[in-house]
Amino acid sequence: MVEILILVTAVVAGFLGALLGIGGGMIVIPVLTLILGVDIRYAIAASLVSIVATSSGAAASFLRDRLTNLRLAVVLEVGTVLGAATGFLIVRHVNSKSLYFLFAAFLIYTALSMFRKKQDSRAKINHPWSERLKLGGMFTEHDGTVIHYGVEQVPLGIFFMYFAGILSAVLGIGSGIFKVMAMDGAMKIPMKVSSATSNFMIGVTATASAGAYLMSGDVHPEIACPVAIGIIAGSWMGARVMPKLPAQTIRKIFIVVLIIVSIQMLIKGVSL
Amino acid sequence: MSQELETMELRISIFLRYGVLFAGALMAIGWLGGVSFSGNPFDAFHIYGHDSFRIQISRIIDSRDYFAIISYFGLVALISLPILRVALTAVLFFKQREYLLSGVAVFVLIALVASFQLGLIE
Repeated sequence: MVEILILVTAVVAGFLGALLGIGGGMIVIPVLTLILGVDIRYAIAASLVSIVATSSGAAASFLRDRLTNLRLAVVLEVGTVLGAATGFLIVRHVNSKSLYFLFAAFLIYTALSMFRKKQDSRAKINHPWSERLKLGGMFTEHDGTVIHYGVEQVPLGIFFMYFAGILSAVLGIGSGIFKVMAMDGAMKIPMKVSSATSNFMIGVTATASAGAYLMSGDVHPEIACPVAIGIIAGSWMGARVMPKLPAQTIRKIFIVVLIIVSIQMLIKGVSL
Repeated sequence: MSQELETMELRISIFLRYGVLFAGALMAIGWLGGVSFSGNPFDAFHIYGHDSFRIQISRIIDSRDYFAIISYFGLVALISLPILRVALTAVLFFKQREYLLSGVAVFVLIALVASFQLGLIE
């Protein structure tokens, strides 16, 4: 009944992934490696495939809810895809122990800094690239309020996305945390838009490295299929709940996830 | 948000939704057809052993493992979705005369295809 366990785990991972704008890999990889004993390389590859499923499944719902900024996503994907390709090359040649520690420290710092934030981000000025490419947008809150927003520091955002892509390929995660962090923190985009746009982009980021892993022979259907099927079901449910939650609630859930993942990364780093 | 952009987003939304369902159905058929529900199916993956994608495909074709073939079709279909999505985005932006954004999408598409090639390098 190992198949049932992995299916249930994948459903939960998909639900949380869609809800928080993350890929769910941080749930799937520990279960595959620590509980089922799967080699970390296979787990990373399966996780990346599942991330493609999460993003593609939930992004359809986010697009219908008018939260995803398609124009911004296309621009930022330049950074994430190049980063994912770089990350695939790095993971073949570099010991990732130090990356785990850096990752954990970064997440803890982010969680602490997010505790201090009480209001949703709003760009005060529009970056010239944002003006040129019309990257700003609008969305409607569930109470009917129409929110208009601009985009700050676009080059810095692309730069952060490059590192998010590297971490995605190296650790088998969606890097949604880093994408949302960059959009919310640096580019001053509202949290709901950041989460939805991040989720939309995660699929393209993960595809860059998942395709490379597939070609190298690290993707096995015995692992990747049940994980992806469960994730598709979970993300479908998560995407339906997400638009009904207020931004502050999403942020609080996000902080808890950050802390859990940082502890997970520290433990993993020590064990390497 | 312009009417054109809303229409464009709706098209991509529909494409992604049905694409995931199609890939998921293939993977479900392939996986359920081959699963035994006995023992630990992950025993074979405790130790890393490197067979390339070409070798894996040759093996399942030789052994006529049709459910495995369907599973691989599902995986390839799923991984292809974001690629097709980026291509569709490039075309739709081009039709809207948003040439700069269309060019950016084409660049992303080329980078994606190039990244796949990295997997073939030993």
